[in-house]
Amino acid sequence: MRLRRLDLTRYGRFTDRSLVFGAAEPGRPDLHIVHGPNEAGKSTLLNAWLDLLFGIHARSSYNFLHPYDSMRIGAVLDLAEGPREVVRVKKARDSLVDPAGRPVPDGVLRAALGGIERKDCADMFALDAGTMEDGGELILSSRGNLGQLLFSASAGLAELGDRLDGLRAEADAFYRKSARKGTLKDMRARLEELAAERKALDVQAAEHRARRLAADKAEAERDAAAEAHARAAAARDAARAALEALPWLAEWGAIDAELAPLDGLPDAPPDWPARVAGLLAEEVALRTEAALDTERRQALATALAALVPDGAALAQAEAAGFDEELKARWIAARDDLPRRLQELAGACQRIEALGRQVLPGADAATLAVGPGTLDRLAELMTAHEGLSARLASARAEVAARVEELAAAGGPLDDEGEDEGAAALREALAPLRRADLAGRRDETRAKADEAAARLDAALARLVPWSGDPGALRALEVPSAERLAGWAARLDAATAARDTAARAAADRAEEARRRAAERDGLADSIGAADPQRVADSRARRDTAWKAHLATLDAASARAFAEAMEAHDSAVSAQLDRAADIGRLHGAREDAATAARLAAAAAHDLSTAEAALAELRATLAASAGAILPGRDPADPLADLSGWLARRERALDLADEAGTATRAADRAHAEAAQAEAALRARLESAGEIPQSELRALAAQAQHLLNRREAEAARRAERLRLTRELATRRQAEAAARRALEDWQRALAEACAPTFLSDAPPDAARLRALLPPLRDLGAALAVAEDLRHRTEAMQDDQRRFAEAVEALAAALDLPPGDPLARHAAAAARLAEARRTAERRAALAGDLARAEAARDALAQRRARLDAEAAAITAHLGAPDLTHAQAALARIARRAELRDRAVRLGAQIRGALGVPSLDEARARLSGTTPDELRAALVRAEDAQAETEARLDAARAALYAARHALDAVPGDDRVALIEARRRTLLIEIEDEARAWLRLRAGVIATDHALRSYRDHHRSGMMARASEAFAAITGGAYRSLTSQPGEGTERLIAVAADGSSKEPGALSKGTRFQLYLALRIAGFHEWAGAHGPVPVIADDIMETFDDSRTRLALGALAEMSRAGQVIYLTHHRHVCDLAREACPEARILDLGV
Amino acid sequence: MSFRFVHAADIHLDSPLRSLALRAPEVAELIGTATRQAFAAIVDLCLAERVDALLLAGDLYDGDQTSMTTARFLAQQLERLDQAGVAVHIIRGNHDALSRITRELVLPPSTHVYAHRAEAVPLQRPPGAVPVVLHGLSFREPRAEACLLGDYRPPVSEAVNIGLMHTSLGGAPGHDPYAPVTPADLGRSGFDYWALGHIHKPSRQVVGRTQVVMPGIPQGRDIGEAGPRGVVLVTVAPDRTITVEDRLTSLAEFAAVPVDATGVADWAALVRCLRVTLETARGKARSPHLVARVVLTGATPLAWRIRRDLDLLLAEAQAAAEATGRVWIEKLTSECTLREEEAPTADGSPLVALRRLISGEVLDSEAFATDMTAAAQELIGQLPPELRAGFGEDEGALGRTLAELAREGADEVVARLVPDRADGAD
Repeated sequence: MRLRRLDLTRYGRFTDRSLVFGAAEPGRPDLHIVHGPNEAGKSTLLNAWLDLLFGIHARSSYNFLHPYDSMRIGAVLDLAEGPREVVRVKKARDSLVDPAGRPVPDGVLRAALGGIERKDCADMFALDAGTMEDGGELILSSRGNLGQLLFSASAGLAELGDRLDGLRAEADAFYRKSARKGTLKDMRARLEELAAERKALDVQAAEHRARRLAADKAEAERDAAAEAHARAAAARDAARAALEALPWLAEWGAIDAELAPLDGLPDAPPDWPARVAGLLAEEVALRTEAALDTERRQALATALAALVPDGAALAQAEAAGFDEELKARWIAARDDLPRRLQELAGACQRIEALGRQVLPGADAATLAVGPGTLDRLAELMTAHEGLSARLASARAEVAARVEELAAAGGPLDDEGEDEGAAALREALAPLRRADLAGRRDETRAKADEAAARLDAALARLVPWSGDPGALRALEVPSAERLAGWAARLDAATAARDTAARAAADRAEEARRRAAERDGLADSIGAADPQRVADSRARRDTAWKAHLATLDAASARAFAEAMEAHDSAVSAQLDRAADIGRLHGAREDAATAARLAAAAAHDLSTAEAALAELRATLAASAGAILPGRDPADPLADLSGWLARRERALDLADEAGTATRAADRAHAEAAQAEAALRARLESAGEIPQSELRALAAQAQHLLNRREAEAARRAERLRLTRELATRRQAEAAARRALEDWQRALAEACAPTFLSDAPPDAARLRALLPPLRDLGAALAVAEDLRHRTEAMQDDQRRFAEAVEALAAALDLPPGDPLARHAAAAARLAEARRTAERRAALAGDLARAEAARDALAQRRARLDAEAAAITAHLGAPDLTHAQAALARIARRAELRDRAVRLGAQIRGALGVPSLDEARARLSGTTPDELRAALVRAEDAQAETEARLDAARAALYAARHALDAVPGDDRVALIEARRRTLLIEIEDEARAWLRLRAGVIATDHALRSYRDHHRSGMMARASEAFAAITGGAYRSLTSQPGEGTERLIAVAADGSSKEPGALSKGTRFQLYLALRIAGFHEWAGAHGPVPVIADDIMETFDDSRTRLALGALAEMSRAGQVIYLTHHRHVCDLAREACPEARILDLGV
Repeated sequence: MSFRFVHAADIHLDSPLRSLALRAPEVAELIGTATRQAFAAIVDLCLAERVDALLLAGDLYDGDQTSMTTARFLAQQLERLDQAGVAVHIIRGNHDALSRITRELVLPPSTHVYAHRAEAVPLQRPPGAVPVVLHGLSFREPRAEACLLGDYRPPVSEAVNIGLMHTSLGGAPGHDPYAPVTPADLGRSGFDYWALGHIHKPSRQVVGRTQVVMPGIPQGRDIGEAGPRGVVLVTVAPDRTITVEDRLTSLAEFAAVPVDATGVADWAALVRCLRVTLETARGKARSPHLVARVVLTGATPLAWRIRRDLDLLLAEAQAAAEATGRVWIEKLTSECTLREEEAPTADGSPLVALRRLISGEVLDSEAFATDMTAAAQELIGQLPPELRAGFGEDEGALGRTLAELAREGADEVVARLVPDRADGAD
């Protein structure tokens, strides 16, 4: 990118200020020095450049003269694709536009800048005292955006560091030296947890062996204790038995005595006592039941004999006399018949009356007319009313039309169109559409007015005169061209003024220097080396003269000259310092004189250019408007040109108005001629003026139109009368059709011979309908009365037959029916009761037989028992059985006691038991028992303890689990170990990769840095004029430090350099960075604002030389307020272009 | 009446599986005790097949195994056989030669453990059945450098003679010689069947009329013992012909599953390829569970991305394994490379320049070796002691390990430094 022109259109203190840097010239330095005093706006310019590239800051402070919405910076930039003009305005978006105001994407500039951000661009390419120092530090430390930027510009390894840090952190998460946390530590902790868990669950082989031995020992101890305990218990039991057996022996003796008398009794089955008691109870029950049974049978026989059956009544059970439906019909007929007979008589009378109403003297039955015929007749009657009304109405219409037509003037057969009226209407139409006369007058007035205005405008163009055509033909400059002339004139004038100021300054300077020189020369006087040289010359001349003559006069002259020269030499020795200054002053004065001459030359060049420009412009302006002031050739030209434009516009307007007036006049004349011809052909004498002519024609047209309307009305009435007459004939024909239809309808009835007229028909229809209905009612009643009479007869006959069979007394059929029914019901009840009694009697007899059998069985069983026991009856047998039972009980008891005693004492027979216990007392036995019990309790306690010990030992042995918990823990532990190994290998891989990458990166950086370092080193040596010969780097803590190597080989860190030298170092780094950047992204203009304030003249010149060298690769713009910097720049680079920023 | 027995060896009861797949608790729960479950399966097989005897030819457990819970489990299983009337004959191997838990073990009456002097034990047979004599010898030392065949009792004539021996046979890779003997010698011994143990890889051969059978470990414990594992079921017919059948006992089998990614250009296709390969592997596996070590191979434009996003791919593989069912991913590694023409050139990318610097200068430099060895020694010092030897017993071995890791690590790190936008097709 390169800056060709910068337009400070409205920005800060600038208005419409342009800085033209021009096009680059291949092979020449592209160095521009912009000079401007303080406050001239150099910082503003630097900032405007950045604002142009990156946009105006939202709260920019450069709005003190031009408000935000009018701020505007423009530039013509050389881009890769060619020159391009862009404009930056202050807007939130689309702030970059082209000169026509169309948005330009910011990416265009961004791409040309290689994507650099504003801050970095400022630090790198827009230098002032601030960015110079900040950016320099960043580059030194290879840190920050700028440092990285410079590095990555060639390396392209941005982000790499971050990614590498990420990987490093990933490795650290597993293990990092002296870190307190980490996956590895966690895993080891888990290993320990697993070991502890396993230890808690597991039993090892050695432990198991110990437990087994302990269990064996406990078992042996338990067995010994159990044996001792058994012995003690036996002893205690013997003592206890002896004590118990003593009373048992006494009881046994008593039982033996009681048994002796019971020995002779027979044995009896054990169930006999119960059986005998049962037999005794059953005997009593049998006796009671037999008595009750006899009594009951007798009562039943008596009751049966008392009931007599009624056979006759039962035989009539199915007779017709008992039919309940027959009876019901008889009752219904009795209640309803008289009323129905009365209704029948009434109906017959009504028929007679209706018959007489229809046709007196005729049989009513023959007058009946079917309902279909009746409906047809009613329909015809209704139709007749409509038809007669229609005929009457048609007749009245005909009469009315005849009358109207007569009043209108009688019938008319056809109509004739009045062609004259139509033509007249047509001729009048244009006049009606537009007020032609009015328009004609109005347009004429406007045309006159426009002509007047044009004349006035032409008059204002003096001294020029002529017609509009000539005015238009005149060749005049465009506004842009005129503005260009003005700008050129302004620029030339300004250049002349600047040169004049410079020439004055230089002349003053030259005068001052000359005065200084002369003053110094005067003060020195004889010591002036010029005068010494003169005296030396005089001495030498005197010497030569003396040698030639060698006389006293020549010797004296030589001596005088010698003396004068000596005194001059000694004076010169005394004033040596002043003489040195005089030399300097002379040089300065010579330089100032040279510069003043150059400035005077510049001034005369500028004045000549101005004069030439004025002459050229005066010629151009004079071609248009002669007689202007040659000193101010453009004065008033723009005002005259504006007046000319106005006059030309008015000439256009006047032409348009005249053409409109002519058109309106022609239209009016054409309309008038047409109308006049029409009126003449209609026989009228036409009026002369257009408006009167129109009124006359309109009047004639009105008359013609009224006549045509009247004829049309007569024709309409004639046609309507014909239509009405046709309607009357149609109504008449319809009535005749009706008559024929009536005759047809009457044909099947008694009216067939003489069909009635409409009035008669209307009177006949209601009685004919009533007669039909009455005949139907009478027929129905007749059928019903006959059926009732039949029902009455049948019931009477059935009751009579029943009465004869049952021998009932005579009477009302209904009463006799009731008596017969009562008799039948009684007969049925008697029969039912008899059947029940017979059943009861049969059952009573069966019960008697059963009782007899039971008695027999009881007697047999009792006999068997009494015989066995030898008892006379059952009561005695019961007593004998009781004694047998007691004997059995005693024997049982004796046996049990015997066994108890033998068992307790451990002896085979009772005799031995008696022998054992004879002679011992219960007290002695109790004492022995207490001793035995004590011994036993002691052994029992020992046994309990041994058992508990054994249980515990066995439990410990059995507690070894066979399940897989320990195996699972071991599996987890093994997996964890594999996992640790795997992670450790992954860590080693990652570390190895990171370490290797670190090494490689260092090597890569060294390689790339060395290129930049060499360039920076070279630039630094050049700027310091060899005071420093190179730059080198030295590894420090985590970074590298830059070292400046002085001409004498001593090295200094940047911090130890003077401020000026440090800034020279920063500048050298920028120059190196610029080349690095330009190599990767193409050049970017470098703008610097008085960054050499701290440089001495010599180094300033060298620095400018370095910038000039750099400008061979890209544009360099140096802003300064020092005039001498411009001069130094010219010295360092004669091709440098100097621009004046002005005030 | 035929005589049937199951011949197993090298049970290594409660010897844990060595696989990263067990990191997942649910996998540890399922197959963490696979050696136990395999032994239970052997007992189940004996009961289901109603065999007459179970022959265990050594190495019931690892030598350093001292947990009585293992012994207890063993006793419980042998108890089941005792109740079913199945005779159990056990010789000790190098691992359990000195085992302390064996001495503590209370074995049921039907279990016979051979002493260190050779024994010939005639089995109880029904009247009229062919007599069967079992020969065995438990050596007391964990090392046995001499052939033991001569110590065995001579075969009993008229009987079927079956010998139990723990031996490395003629020697096998990864095994020190243990009671070495050649199959030919065994064939000449006059025995009908040699029930061998010690070598974990199964093998069998017929020498003359003698069957020489090594059943292998019944449950593989790591990728080195890959494939389905089992025992043999042997039937000796009344005419003394011998039939040997294999029976699967492994609960889980290990398998290396190569995934060929050659030419696969997008990530989704790679994941699909991975899934299909896993499904195929599952179809081939015979054990209830498959522990897969997945290795991606072939030239693919995704090579760098695979290396960089290996963790994502592992997650995909685990998801695919879960979808396939009872497949567990132990590890996923990549040996993929870029195709020659796809490899970036040095002038295009600084990373490539870095990579060349690393492989060309850095890895072989002394400075790097110094830094790397320091980092490695520091880490190894922090590892549990049992792992330390795994990185190299001496300085030379450690150096070799580190060189290998550094090569892989450099590739991995450079791949991970590739910015995202430099990805292959996605």
